[in-house]
Amino acid sequence: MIRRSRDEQTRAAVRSEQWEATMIGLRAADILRQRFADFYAAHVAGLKSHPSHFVGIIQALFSLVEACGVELPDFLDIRTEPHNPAAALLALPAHLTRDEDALAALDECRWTLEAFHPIVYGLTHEIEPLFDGGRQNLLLLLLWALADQTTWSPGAADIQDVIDYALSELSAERQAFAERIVRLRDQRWPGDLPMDELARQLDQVIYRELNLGKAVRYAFAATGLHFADLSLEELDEMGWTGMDWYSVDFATIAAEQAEARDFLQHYYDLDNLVSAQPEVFDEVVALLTEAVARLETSPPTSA
Amino acid sequence: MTTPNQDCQYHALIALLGELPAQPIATHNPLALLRPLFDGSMTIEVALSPAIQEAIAACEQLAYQRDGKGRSLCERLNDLPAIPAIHAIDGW
Repeated sequence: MIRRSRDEQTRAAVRSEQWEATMIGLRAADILRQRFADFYAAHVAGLKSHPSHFVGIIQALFSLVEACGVELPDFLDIRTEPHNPAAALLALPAHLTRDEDALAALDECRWTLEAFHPIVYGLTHEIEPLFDGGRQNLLLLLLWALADQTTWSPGAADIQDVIDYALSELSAERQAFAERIVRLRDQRWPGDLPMDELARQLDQVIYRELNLGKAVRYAFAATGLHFADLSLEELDEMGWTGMDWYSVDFATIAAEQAEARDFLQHYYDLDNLVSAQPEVFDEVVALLTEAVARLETSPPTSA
Repeated sequence: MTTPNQDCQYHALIALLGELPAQPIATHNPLALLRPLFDGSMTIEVALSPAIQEAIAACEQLAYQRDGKGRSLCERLNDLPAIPAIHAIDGW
């Protein structure tokens, strides 16, 4: 009979799936204790250390965060109950009631707990998803083309390539847009156009109840809000810097997310109009051209 | 038969042993202390107590021979530069 030494037993235990999963569950419980002390005392402190309880604890944690108004991405099998976080402790998905399944789910939660981000709403700069099918983001194409020489140019790709790609995606019945898009090449704004000032002017321009300033700022990731200016892809490139669950201000995040969603809505609604109706495309180009002309004939205003 | 001098030495030794603080078995075997945590019979409150957390740290120290740096992925991430904030957000 081979007897493991005590140290070997400890090493094996620490490297086991159960250990890792238990530590993830305890981390969630500790965050609850730090951030939601009343809830922890009432519902969590007395729970026993079953794997399924740890899954419930993570569900309760994210439910409480959502109850603060923070919008979280959908992740894994976790179910949230923001209107009744205590229920989330018990609301396990049916397939996680067995210990081994719960342990596996906890392991998948590791990244969620350690490098976690609420939803960001910024536009990706990946060309294909933006213009795939030629049915959307013509507002963005329009703005990128006009501002190609300015300091706000995203520079994600040669704008001519972007235009060529968007044109290639347009279906036959949408050819009314094609000549408009081609014409944009000759309407580019001067490189020294003060874009901040232009955006301030456009903040005053309401078209069909939509604020052009907000739509333009969103399109160029110039809102000043992380949640409106960053896309998931950019966050990924930045290394998914982790959120500090112990000190993070959920109310501030919720407020910034709400503000970012407002920018997104103005962009999204205007893009739907621009991308569907050639006459709207023309009207928006005209409004932008007027604003640029006003800017070139008047001295800049203070911020 | 002991001499008075030997008696004195024994008493001094016994007194000295009595002064030593009692050491729980788990000090030498922290894994034993954690058994209820892993069989599901420990409460979360106890699991988060300093004694249990120290036992966990002792086991992990033994397993990974950690030097205190890079103890977990989370702590490594904490050293990365934060997302530049225009508006101050605690924790970013």
